[in-house]
Amino acid sequence: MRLFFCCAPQSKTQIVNSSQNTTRYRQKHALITTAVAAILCIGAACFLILREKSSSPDITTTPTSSALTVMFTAVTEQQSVSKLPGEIQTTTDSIEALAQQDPDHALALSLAEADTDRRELLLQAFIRGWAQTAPDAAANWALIQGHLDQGRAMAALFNGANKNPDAAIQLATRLSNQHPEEANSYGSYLIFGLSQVGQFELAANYAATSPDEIRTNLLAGAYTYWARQQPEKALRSAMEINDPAKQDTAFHATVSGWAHANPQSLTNAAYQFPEGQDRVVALTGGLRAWLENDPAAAGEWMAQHKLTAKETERALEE
Amino acid sequence: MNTSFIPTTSHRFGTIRAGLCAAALAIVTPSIMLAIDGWATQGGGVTGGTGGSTVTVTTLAAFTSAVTGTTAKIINVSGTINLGSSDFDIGSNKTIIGVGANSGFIGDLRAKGQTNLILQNLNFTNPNGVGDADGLTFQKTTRYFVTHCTFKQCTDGEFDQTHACDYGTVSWCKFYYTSDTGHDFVNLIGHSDSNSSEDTGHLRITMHHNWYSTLCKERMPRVRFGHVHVYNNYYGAAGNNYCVGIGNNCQVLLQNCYFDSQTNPWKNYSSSGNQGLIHWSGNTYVNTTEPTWAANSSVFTPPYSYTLAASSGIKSTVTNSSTGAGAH
Repeated sequence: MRLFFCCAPQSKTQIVNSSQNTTRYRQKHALITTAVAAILCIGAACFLILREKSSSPDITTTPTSSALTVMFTAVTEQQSVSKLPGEIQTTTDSIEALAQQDPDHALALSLAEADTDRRELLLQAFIRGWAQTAPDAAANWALIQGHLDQGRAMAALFNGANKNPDAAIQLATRLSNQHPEEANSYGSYLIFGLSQVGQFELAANYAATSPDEIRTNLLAGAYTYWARQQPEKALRSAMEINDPAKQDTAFHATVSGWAHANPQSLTNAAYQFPEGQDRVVALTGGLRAWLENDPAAAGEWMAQHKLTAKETERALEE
Repeated sequence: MNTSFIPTTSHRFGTIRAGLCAAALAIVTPSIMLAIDGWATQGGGVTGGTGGSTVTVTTLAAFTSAVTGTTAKIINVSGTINLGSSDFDIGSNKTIIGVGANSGFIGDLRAKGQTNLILQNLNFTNPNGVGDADGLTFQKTTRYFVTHCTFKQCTDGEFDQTHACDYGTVSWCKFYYTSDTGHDFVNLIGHSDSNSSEDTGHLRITMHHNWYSTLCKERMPRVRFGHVHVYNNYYGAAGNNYCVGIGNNCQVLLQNCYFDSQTNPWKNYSSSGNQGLIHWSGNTYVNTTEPTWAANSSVFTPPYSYTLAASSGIKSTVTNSSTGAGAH
């Protein structure tokens, strides 16, 4: 078992007392804990068996199963009545939950998975979970770990830290100050994460106040994600930006996101805009997307509404 | 082939053995030598202006004189040249190289009906949308190698390849915009569904180690009819609409790319009865969902050798500020 924990986070004692938290976890989540306890035993056994096999030249070193696979199946079967998502989702949910309470165990279990793809998914779940309770420690580990692609690790970090938006923003700010060459990546992952939990305004504010060289990219992301979910609110926010360049980026991103999500809605809204460039951009953005999705309906709408020559040309251009 | 006499040269892009062979032609300049690869190695390969005279130009007049006609010539461009208010046409058998990190063109550089071109280490921008409003427009042009170029803020496509272009490789290029044009559509390969008679059997293009950055929304690339090999690209523009467009009767081989917070890594643009095909493998998806609309189909097998890097390292490789994509 020691082998499992040799890669545990160095800061584990600062984060959680394993035995105390495991007890609490059992009390709160008996079903999951049963499965986790099972895997601790099965995982150790399988891991040692696989290690034993791998030392023998006559036996294949490629495992066809793993400890976690056994556990995943058990969890899925036990919880199938509650209609949880698929096997992998269930498993990653379990790891994510465990990581909030006992990151050492969650990491060990993740690393014990033999299948590479599954292991990566579990490690991302581990980071997401840990980031919810200890974002700085999770970040420090994610930065130096060698198991996951750095982008996947940092994205997972912010997809967990986003449960506490203020802490996530502080984390992104700290990391960007420490590694300014990665500020665009951290900002992008933060904005994606905040958008996933509906914190669009916070994401937009972070983007708007980011350094010049990354601001356009982050604003584009923030307002596109926002407009896909809440287009009118995104538009209102964009139009309240005082800086013309920022407003222009935010407005175009809103149009783009709105067009992607509901081009018919955007087209109808834009048709009510006052004459001017904003109307042209919004109307043609909506019509272009609508023509792609449903050319018959979009064409009928165009036949029934009066458009300028410029608007028609831009809507139809390649 | 006896390779004992082939010189080996080291430079900031690595060590490359010079020489001519079907798999990897090479060019030599005083400062930079890059191996030609991908589809550009086929159909006779690309030599650009190799064997011709070398000139360095700093003005539009000098550039016009150097680039007109079909005589082989190596042209070093020093500084930024404004190409004027319409498409600027270049002739065949040219190597055009930017000197330093900041040389290049404002306007639309066009190759129409030309062949055997190398464009390297150049910056392209067309913020006022002159000519076709691209930064670089290739039509009816074959055997070309565009590498280590930066494309910024062109109001139509940034580099469009249409009208039966063929045997081209676009590598290590960075594409981005500084403001949203509403038409941030980067690489169009095949311009119309109705152009099958001209395009079918052509548009064989390789695009690798390219960096699609800020505000690249669509067409990275968008393909009709062609056999396009896309590998080891980094897709990193936040808020995109889609990356690779699968249009009528095309075949796209998409390998080991890195999709970073992208929407629709590939999207269907084929009309009924003309479904384009895609085969994908080895990609890294970060905050990105792998599309499910398409079958992972059998497509063309590239007739050239190439080395696939693991997709997990592509972000850092392609975005490296000194050795990654773009002009340096």
